[in-house]
Amino acid sequence: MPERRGRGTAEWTLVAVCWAVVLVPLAWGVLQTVQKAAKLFQ
Amino acid sequence: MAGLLDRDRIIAAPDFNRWLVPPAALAIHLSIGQAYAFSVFKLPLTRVLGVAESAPGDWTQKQLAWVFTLAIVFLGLSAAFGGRWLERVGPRKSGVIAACCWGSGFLLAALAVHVHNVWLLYLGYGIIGGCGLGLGYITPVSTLIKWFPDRRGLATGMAIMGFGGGAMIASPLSQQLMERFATPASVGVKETFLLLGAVYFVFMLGGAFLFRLPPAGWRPAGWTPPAQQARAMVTTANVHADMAIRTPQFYLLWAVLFLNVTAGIGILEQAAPMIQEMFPGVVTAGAASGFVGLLSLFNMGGRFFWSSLSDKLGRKLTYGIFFGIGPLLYAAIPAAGRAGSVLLFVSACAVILTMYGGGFATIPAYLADMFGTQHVGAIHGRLLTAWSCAGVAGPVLVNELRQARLDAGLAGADVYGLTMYLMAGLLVAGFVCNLLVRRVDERFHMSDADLAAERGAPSEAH
Repeated sequence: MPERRGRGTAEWTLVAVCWAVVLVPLAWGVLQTVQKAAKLFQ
Repeated sequence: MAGLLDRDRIIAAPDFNRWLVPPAALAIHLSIGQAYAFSVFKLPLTRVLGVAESAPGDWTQKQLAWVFTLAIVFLGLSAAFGGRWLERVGPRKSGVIAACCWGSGFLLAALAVHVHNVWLLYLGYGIIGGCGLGLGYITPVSTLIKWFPDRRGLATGMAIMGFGGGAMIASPLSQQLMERFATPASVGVKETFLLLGAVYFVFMLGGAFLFRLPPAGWRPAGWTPPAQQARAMVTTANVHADMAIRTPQFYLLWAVLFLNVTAGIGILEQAAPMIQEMFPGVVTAGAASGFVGLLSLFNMGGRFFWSSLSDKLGRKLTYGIFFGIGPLLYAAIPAAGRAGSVLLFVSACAVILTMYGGGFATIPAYLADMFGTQHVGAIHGRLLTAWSCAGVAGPVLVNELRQARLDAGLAGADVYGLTMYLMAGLLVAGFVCNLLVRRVDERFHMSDADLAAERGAPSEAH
């Protein structure tokens, strides 16, 4: 059982890392666009 | 190497975590979403020889417009012809080929800039890159739909949101890279193309190698398909891609996508000049570029929002909302211009753009509901020809109409009134097409034996 639990944890860590790899550049792009969009309200 | 890419090699183990598939899909869609940011290269590409300003022999805007058009046309063609191949060979091989096409498209584009040959640019970014776009678009969607039968809309929304997000990354990144690489003798486009091609290739390759396919008969834990009678539009059967194109439902959904995209382009294509011409002296050029940025945020957000919501509402009702509310919003745009209400104008455009994006993201789930998941990649690929057609016809239509109104001496809201009413009319036609969509007749369904033969598994797999 502990082995099973350990593997599951590692798997969720991999999921988190993969999501971070794609969400970090996406968040940067969204932030850049929000800054650009803010010009409309200035 | 060939064995590593085989479909049989990527059948998931029973304890595979399906939440690994969406980031893999996003990695590919974020990369190919760069296509929507190609316009940032247009001005620098007209100064490759002159650098500071265009010199004789430099490419013209008209020549460069063909690059994006070719890319969108080949997106549709490769998706249409590559869809069945994708279902046969699996998403890893298809994803790797997409990465090779997209990456090498950039490399050829860099070479085209180096030797200053526009035909090489057409071949590289337009044709080979366009093929990468098409395969890269349908591969993740097809895979996600198979992993999320319980939340198809959410799954396709996550991936297709990435296509919108990819442009948001690529646009500022490309500008910063070009500034970094620019010298007195170069505009920095060649080096930017080389670097982007390499980065996208690696990113897409990573996504392709993360892909797994669920084993035959797999279902999410604790989930059972809804009873056939309860949701008549959603089938548990499968329709072959070659059979799907013989059904009226395929052509109705083709029209639904075509009309929704064409109408959305009516706003996207003219966003910056439209807001300035409708509100002269009120909206500056800087504010207009902010408006374009705001629209891209709503375009991306709509992809996730509407697609996820369609899991609750059903696809037909979701499109019914697009086509029911859309005409009113289009009609409100010239009225907002005449009333001088920037807020009403911006709000109407923003909601329209959520529906434009939502239409893209919801259509694969609609197809999976109607035709099943076995051939959804191939059917989706063929349906994307609607996008190619709208991508060519839409801008021509709206630009010609605008020019005709300007030539007639009209100004302000009157320039755009006819275009907006025409777009509203297109959405009304879309409403009728969507209303006519019915459940696919059982005579088009694949038999259990055909399905088992394709899956190479016993017939209980269904």
